[in-house]
Amino acid sequence: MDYFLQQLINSLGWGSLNALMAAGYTMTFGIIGLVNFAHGEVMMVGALTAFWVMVFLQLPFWLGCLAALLGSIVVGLLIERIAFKPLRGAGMISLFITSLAASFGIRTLFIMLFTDRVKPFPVPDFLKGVLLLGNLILFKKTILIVLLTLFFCGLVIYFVKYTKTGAAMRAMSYDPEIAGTMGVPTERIIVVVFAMASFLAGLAAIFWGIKFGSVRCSMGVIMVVNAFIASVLGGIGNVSGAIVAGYIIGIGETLFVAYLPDHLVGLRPLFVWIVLFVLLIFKPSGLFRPNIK
Amino acid sequence: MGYSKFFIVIPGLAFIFYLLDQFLPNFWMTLLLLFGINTILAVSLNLTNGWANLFSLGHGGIMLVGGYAAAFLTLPVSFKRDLLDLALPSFMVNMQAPFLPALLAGGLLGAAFGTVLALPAMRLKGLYFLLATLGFNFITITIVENLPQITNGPMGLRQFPAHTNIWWVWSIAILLIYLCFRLRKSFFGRALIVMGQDQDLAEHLGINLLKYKVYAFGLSCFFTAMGGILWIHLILNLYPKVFGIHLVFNVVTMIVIGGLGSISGAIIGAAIITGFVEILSPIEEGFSFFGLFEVPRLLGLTTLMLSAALITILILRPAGIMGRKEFDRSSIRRILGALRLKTKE
Amino acid sequence: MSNESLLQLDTVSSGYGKKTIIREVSLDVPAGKIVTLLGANGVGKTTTLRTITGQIAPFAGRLLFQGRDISGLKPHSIAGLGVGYSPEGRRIFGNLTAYENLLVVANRIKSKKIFRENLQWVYTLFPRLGERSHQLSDTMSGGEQQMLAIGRALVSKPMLLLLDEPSLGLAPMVVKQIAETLVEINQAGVSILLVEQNAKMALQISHYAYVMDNGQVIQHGSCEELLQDKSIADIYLGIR
Repeated sequence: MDYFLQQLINSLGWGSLNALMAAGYTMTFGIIGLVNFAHGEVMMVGALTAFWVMVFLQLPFWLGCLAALLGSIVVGLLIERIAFKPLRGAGMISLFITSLAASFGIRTLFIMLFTDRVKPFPVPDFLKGVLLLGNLILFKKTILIVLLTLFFCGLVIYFVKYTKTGAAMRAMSYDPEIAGTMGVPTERIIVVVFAMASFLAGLAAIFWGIKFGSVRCSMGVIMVVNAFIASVLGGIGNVSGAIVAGYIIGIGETLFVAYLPDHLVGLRPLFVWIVLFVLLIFKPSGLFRPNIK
Repeated sequence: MGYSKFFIVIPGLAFIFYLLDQFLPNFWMTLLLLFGINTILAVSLNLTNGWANLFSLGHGGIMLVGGYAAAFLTLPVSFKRDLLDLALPSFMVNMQAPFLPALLAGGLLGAAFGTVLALPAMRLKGLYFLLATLGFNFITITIVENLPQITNGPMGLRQFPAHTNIWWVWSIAILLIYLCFRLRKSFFGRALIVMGQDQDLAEHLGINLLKYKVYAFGLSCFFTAMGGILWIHLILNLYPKVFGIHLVFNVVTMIVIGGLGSISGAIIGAAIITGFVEILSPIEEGFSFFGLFEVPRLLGLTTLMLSAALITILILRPAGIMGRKEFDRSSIRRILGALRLKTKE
Repeated sequence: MSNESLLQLDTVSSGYGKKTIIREVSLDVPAGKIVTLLGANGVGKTTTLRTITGQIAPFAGRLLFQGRDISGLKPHSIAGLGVGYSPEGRRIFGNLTAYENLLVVANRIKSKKIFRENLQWVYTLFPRLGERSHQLSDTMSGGEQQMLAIGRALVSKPMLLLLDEPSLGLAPMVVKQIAETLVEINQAGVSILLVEQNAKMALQISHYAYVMDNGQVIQHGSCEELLQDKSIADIYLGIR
């Protein structure tokens, strides 16, 4: 029992990362029908920016975090402008292939610049250390990650649910053409959505660094698959659904690995795909109400 | 006409193969073989991704499965028995089969896997089909890497006999191209293309969607698996990781650049990408420019350029070079006609 | 016709891709009037409206709104000039509540106070929307959805209201109710361009009418004139 509870606690950090990525992913998925394989690269660029600022330039931690958020937002908007905007209205498959190409291109570029070696991510002292709850160990950094994730997710949910821009976002997911004729500045809303999604990816990058103490150029690949499957699980375009689904996927994956025999731990990546196949067969619309037609 | 033309074409091709085999320098031969293998991969992928609009990213997994099946047959006994400790049936360990049965066995296993994958995935439309096949690719590689008793895990296999030569590669490639051109004029091919453009219409026309989808997928996977086997017996090693999404992405790039749905487009795309990769790979390794300065190693340059090329094509010319058109007798006639007009002026 | 025309189409041709659907359509919506565009199914009425709202760009001709050429503007800019649009088949945002459907339009209203006033006005026009404001619009009845579609077009207080087949698939009672509300909306100063197959209802409330066939305007005149013209009334309007 203790083992189960301990694994559950450990999985919360990974669940938070998945939730942040899935929330951003589902927004762009809903609004322009984009399965964005490059979303993982948005996070990776944020993480590498932070690494560069903190390790190369020797600047303090909080500047590194700021740089991660900025880096993610800039690269997210750049991808949107260069690769996706010219293809507005093209089919989902063209958009997906474009995002795949963007993802490979960016990752390769960064591997050429920085190599794919694991890079240290300096974590300040106040985040180190643990709390003991009976037999259970609780990392301080996990608490911070979970609390901040819930806070920012709450903000995003409030924004999407209660503001007029949020309503416009959901309207565009449902019917972008009519949303335009109702006076919604569609292109501007798309930019806002990409900025928000990239901001969340930047947060995920920082939390990844804090959680694992290191970052690398190929970190985006695992993340983007999880985020995508979480966004299908949560109902496409449904932000709160994606956050819940992100936690489900993150926690489920950790527990899956925890109960695998040691020599089969390599099967870890199978978990999300199994979730996807079960979902596609039994409930393709996801657990919660999708925001698309 | 009838079949008499084959009596001219086949010996003619054989003679050309013979000449090339004898006199082509090594570098160009490798290039020609790679071009042939890429043609097989691209033209067979075009069957599903271009014609039937079943956009698959799972063909890497198919190549991997076919490749292993063939490998167990063609690897030297000494390597299988002494260096590896695989949980294979003993008759398999103690024999070394010639190339043709290995090719066919691998191809059939690939087709079988493709069909089994396709059956449940057929219920899914467009994007979801694509993601299911992508999942298949990830899953196959993960499982293969985690079954070291059978597959030797991520270490892969080595010591392949160098079976691949121009005879195998281009016979299969030309057979596939010929088959596809014939299919295009047949009921089967037309049914596939109609289905790819408008499923509902195809259903109203009385086309059995499931049957045709499965046939298309099986045929495509059969040739893709053979392409994979040829490739393995050219580069002489087999690492599961190589068959990931990157490889499929390269083939997809070929058919998108050439024009989705066009056989000639797929061949042109294969030619362009093969050339592109071979020109860039020496640059990737770094070289010295006339002793004046050193160009550093730029591993990944190929991927970078391919990505940029693909995005550019998708934006500027989404239909690719050929669109859905073919380069056949009528287009040759058209070009000749246009030339004649020009010379008259 | 009156000199102060609000919307003017001057020999506009338009269509999808390379296919021309409407050819050299000219029509005029004077300020403060209700104008009807009649015609059978598939003659280009909806294409005309989609051209006005900017969803498709015209191939040729001029689109003037308050004397300003609006051809080639983005749909949201055209909406911003004061054009409200209730599309064919209603096309409400089914994933939003009734209130949120109206809130979407608030993206082009600067002040919260004005939005609240407009919202109040829409709720007085269609009290049902006020009662159902927090219901998911997908689950509302056809008539309520149509009211919502019109309300959504009105919540920005547009100068011109474009209505595409508001009577489609609705019970006669509801059609009558909507027709009465349209008159009320017009009296509040909103000009209306109404596209209809239900000629009877449309001619009752309109000041002027155009008849389309095969992508072209074949006849126009005041409603009385059109009803007098036996051939038109028989063939195109289905009224005796």
